[in-house]
Amino acid sequence: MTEDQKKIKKYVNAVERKLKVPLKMKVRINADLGTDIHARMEAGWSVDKILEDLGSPKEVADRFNAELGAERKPGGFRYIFLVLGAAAAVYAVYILAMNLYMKSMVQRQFRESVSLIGGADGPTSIFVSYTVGMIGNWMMSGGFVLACLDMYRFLGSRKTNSLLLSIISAGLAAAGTVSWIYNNGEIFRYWEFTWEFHFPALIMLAEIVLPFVLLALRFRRRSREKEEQRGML
Amino acid sequence: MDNKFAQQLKKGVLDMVVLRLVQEKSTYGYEILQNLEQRGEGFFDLKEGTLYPVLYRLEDSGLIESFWQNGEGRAAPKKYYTITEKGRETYGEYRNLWTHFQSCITKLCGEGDE
Repeated sequence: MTEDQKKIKKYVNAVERKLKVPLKMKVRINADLGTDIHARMEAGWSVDKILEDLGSPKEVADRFNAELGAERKPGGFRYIFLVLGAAAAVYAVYILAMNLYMKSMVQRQFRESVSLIGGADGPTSIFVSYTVGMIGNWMMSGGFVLACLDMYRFLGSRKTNSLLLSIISAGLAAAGTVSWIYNNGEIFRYWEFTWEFHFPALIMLAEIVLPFVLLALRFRRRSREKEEQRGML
Repeated sequence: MDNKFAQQLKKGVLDMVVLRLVQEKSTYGYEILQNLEQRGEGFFDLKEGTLYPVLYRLEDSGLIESFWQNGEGRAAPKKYYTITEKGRETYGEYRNLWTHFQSCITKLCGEGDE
């Protein structure tokens, strides 16, 4: 292989590495670039002049990627949301298991006795009132888990933009918030007394905010896509 | 002439112009770029990354097709493009549409406008 052929091969390979298109398309581009370079050599150009005129491999690849609508490779940042969602799901299951354990423990402790709330089954009443208060937390957690999963999808691809998962997660977050405030609203009276209210509250805030942020991002992407389509007409 | 309006105009007619050049004779990418530069009066100063996607789109639509042709002597084989029957018909439609469009714009914008 001559020096010129080595330079051409190195250049074309460098362009191919930076292309973000399917393999078949890379083969086409490779063939056409090769033809282009050889045609210029036949017209009397030197290899160095040809490669300078074509531009750097990055410039050439960027132009092809832009014209062919190639997608940016999704970054690793989205995996954070996958991990957060998994952690939230595991934690929610853990809390559910603890609740069930507490129920059986309470029932064992108060089996023979006194009706604490006034019904025939005091322990069950305590558990029911406790559980109802937790429904809001579970809904918020459910919304958060779905939002994390959807954020992972959102950051991974620009091609799919379904709103369904975002709407469900935002709905769960909203319903969970309303339920939690309704059942635990009194807790706000003791807000300033202990940091223990603040940290879980920050986590809950993240659980509520993420689904709505994601829904807004998806709507924005949708309206941009519609604008682009109108611009092409 | 690189403003947005010029870019949009170029993009709008590129398919028609490339079909025309391929219809004239079977040709390859670099030759098309040279023709556009020389006959386009500076309006079509394209790079490979802009032209080849147009060729691929036309090929995928069945308007042109590619083939390899060996060069004379020790020249490397080249990838040529040639127009199909469907491409000829489509070019004819594009040309009629362009003539009509040109006439409408001239009426709307006024022949005497500077």
